[in-house]
Amino acid sequence: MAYQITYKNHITPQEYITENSRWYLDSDCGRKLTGSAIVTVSSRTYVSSLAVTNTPSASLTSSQDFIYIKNTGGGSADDVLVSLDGGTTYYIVLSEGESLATKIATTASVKVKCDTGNDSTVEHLKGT
Amino acid sequence: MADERRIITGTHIIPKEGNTMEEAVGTKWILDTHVGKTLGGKSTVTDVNKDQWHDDWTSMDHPSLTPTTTITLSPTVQSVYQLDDDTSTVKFFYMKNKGVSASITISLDSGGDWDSYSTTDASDEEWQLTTAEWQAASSNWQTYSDDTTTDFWENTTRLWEGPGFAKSAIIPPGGALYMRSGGSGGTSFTINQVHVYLGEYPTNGTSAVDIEYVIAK
Repeated sequence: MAYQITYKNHITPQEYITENSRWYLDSDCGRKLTGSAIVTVSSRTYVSSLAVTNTPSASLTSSQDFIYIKNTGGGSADDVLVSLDGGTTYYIVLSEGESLATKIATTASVKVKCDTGNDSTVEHLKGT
Repeated sequence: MADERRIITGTHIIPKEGNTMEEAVGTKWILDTHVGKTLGGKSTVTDVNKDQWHDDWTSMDHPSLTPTTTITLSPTVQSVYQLDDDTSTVKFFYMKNKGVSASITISLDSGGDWDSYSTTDASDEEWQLTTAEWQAASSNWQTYSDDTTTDFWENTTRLWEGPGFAKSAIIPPGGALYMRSGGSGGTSFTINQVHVYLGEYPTNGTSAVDIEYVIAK
């Protein structure tokens, strides 16, 4: 059986003008920004809840083409840090409710952890 | 001048499985029964600075302004593009691949010095050479032996260590990626570390790609 993952990432930059007491679409951008793509995979795995602590998780990916991670806010609902390089660097941070969806190199090794003393939970979907 | 800035974000995932029908009428795609729902998340990023590092913090000019900035990665010009050399720490990053056939690969690696490449370190990556001349030059360096002591190019084991793309995010045509950075306990990166590779590393893309981005400190 074949599987498809359609994913869409969109952002709306806004600027606040105190004089008018309101938020506007950021005038440096002038519009909302969005992108959508389809990843076709032969297998996929969905995990609805994974506890995250300061101890880095086992790698969530092995020769995967796609990863989606959402901080679902269990435990203390702290920020979750995401690494694509097996835990060497944690460039990405997900607050409660926030998610990451991206196609990745098959050599990527995705790990998650929290800062010292923090914890949360994530759901994730991966495909290859 | 904006008095504050924020960025509202959203991600939407539709996992689907393909069902084969009795007759060859094509695959019927339905919601993945293993997952059983669509996925996604929303957030509002509030810690971006109201005073950005440059007007180039977005690749766009407001539609009422001209000319519109377009950044194009072309296989005939370069395969690796550095977004900017600013050293501000990134709080938020968004990029879209506006191409139709080639993917792009994102690296947040600062890269190394000219002589820091290690052939025995699997995480090191040789600078990608895109033209036939440069690909050949790699072997030329190795075979150069005019002098045994003084020639600069003589050390054949030293190759430029470019930014690492091996364990990176890929943006397919039409797709976009955003991420927030700088969390407590995490790793910060700076604007000059953001590099874009035309193609799915290490395969060079063969068609030009326009990109749009937002990179906020």
